[in-house]
Amino acid sequence: MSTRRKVTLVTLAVALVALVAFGIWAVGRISELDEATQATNPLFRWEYLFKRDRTPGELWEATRQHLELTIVSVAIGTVLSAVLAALILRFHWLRGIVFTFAGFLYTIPSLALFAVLVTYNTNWTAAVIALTSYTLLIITRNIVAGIDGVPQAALDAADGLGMSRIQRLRKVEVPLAMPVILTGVRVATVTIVGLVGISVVIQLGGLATYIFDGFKRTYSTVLVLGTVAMVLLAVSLDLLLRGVERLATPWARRSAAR
Amino acid sequence: MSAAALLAQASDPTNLWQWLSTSEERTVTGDIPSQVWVTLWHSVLAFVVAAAIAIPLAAFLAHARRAEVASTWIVNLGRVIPTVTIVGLLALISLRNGFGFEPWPIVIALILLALPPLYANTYTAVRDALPEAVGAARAMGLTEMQILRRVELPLATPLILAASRVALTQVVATEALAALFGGSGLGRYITFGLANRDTFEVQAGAVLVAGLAMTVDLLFWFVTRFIVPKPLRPAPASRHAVQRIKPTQSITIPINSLGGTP
Amino acid sequence: MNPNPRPRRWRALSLLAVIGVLALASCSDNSSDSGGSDGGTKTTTDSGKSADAIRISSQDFSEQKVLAQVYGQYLEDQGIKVDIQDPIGTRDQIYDALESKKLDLQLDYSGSAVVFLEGEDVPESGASADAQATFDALQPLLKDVDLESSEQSEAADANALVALTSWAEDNGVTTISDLAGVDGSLTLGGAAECAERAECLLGYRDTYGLDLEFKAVDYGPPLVAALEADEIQVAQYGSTAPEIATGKIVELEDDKGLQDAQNVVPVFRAAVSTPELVDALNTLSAAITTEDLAAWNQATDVEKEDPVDVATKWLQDNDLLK
Repeated sequence: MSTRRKVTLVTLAVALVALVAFGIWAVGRISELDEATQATNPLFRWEYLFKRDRTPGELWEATRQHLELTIVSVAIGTVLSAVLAALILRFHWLRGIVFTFAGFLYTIPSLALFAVLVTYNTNWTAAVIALTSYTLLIITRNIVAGIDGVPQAALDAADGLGMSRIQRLRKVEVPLAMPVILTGVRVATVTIVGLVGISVVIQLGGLATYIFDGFKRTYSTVLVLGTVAMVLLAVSLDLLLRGVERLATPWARRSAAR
Repeated sequence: MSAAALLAQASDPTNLWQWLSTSEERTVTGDIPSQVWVTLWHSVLAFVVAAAIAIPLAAFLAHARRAEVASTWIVNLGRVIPTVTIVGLLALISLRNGFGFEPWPIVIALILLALPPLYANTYTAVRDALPEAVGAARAMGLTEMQILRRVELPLATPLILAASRVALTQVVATEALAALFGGSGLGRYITFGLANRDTFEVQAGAVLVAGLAMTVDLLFWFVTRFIVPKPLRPAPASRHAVQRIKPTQSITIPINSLGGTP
Repeated sequence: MNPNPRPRRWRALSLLAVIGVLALASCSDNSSDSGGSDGGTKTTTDSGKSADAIRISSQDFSEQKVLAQVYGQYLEDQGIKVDIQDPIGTRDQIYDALESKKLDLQLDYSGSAVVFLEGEDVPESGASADAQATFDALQPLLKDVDLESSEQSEAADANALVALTSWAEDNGVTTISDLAGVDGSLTLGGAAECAERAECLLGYRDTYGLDLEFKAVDYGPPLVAALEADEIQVAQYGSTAPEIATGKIVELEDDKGLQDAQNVVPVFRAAVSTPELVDALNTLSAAITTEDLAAWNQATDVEKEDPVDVATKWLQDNDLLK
């Protein structure tokens, strides 16, 4: 066991060293820039974050736009997925069709979808339609898998206890499927945070506006800020929804502790 | 008269098909075959590099049952770092250092996009390879490397191939992002069309990007379906008891193991 | 034991669907509440917090952003309600927005505006190096699309074909015509719309007979970066570019007179035109000089100051704010 851990640690350490080496190399390359550029445009200007009065407001506004698009799309996507999943479970032959179609939607590059939809809709609607379509595959698949995965024994036990159908549904099937469903919602949310960034092409980028603005002005500070903010947003949503998963499924924790 | 009507040219295509077949429309953005070629070589290079890193590493670690937690975290990490930010960041770093717009920013970003699904699925596949078979092989006196090469990897192949297909398709679809940061590829028709308010060009770009991604997807499926030896195919209803998968269940990549964004 | 499991699942899913609808309802309420003040969607809504304010926007590069801020802040100070919006993108997109009444005012450059509004089929363009003639040619074109302009400014940001100073010296290039003698294929970099403009790629091909490749590069510092990376050899940039002042890049002489006059000219929808607005615009336009444009670009692109601050500072320095 200890040797295994050692090897694991060594592997991780090597990866870390490689990453740091790359970082140093990149910074080193940048430090070779001429002095004028160095003085005015280092990789990250901390003043931009801490001394510029406008930064917090702008960041908040961009985050809010980003969140709005994310939440609306995931919410609509969840509802549509629930309907799709219901149809699949009711009419079994739909399964292949729905999954193929959702998989097809998932294959369409987001850039292309935004660009095409915006010619027929307002920017905001186009973004929501495109983003929603990407959540369908993830959430539908997880709902179906969750309900499919409810063990027959649990259903039989519920029947044996004399539960009515409604009771069984409420107390057995939905709760048992819940972890898988919530995982689907979480994965979809985090994916959408990244995709919202691409909606910059239709002037709705949220935090990703920083990335494109930074690129256009070759102002790396802004670009780095946008990147970090977007990753932080994705991480916090991920953690938040993990929290919800745990709260919604207390028995999972209990069984894990056992 | 509207500005749009003023701008309408006699030579302008009147529908998407005409756009696709009129080559003079593309004197600036490059003709379709060359952009397809650029997109493909960026994607394939990225995919091959990612596979060369991820698959052996994951197979080895999974065989040794090491870094289990790390493998889930790699996927999570891949998902929370949007590809668009990586391309933008790398493009700027590349520009500031005089390396130009391409191809390195997009290729590196695509490698990072393909790594997590390849790594995680290979890891799972090798780890979950039939323990009975592995035990039998060990009893027969095979060395650990032999077990990995002759038992675990063949058993894991269907899932690895399925994951590769998903990863490659995603990579091809995502290559379009290069155009947002001065790179070339099929995405260029989209950015160009948006800038010039040329609806057909945008649509053509969209159709081409999506079409290429789906073609690659189908091609990969075709190859794995008909060329890969039967027992190794990620086909549904395989009678060979590869993995502990119900005979009726097709192998689908757990969506949770998809890193990155399309 | 369990002869017909599907209906039960169906119910489970129906319940889920109901929950989802409720969640959605609450979410969309929130978003519609906040939609009115949303910065990202304001370019897409016709009405909003500022239905009666003059909506000002710009193309997506620094000089334009500063111009929008300068005019916007000045008008606001003069008591005219304005809403300065995020940059929209390219000239095509700007005119699209003006036409669909999503935008009221923008600051254009006279020659480019003429060439854009004429389209490609005009035998001889009304735009020329003569600033007044170009401005006169612009008026009927604007009228055709229900737009107007106030007097043009003396300040101009002419298109300039630039190359790295070192590259130009090595190849002995000082004029655009000299490019014909350079060995190997040359790539021109410029904003995407350059490819379709007579004043840009098409002009260099037709007027100068140059066989240039084209690469779309974001207008601004990325152009210079692309020159330095040798991805492009010449770039369609502005005469007010800060890198020209520092000597990093050099403007090639336009020896065949392809370039038009490019004076800053406020263009707005006829529907929002009032005497006060035109007066204010004229006063401000008269105060801006070409040197100011160059100084702004230096401030935004090299010193990375915010367009808002650059604009405020300039207005204060010139005693234009009450």
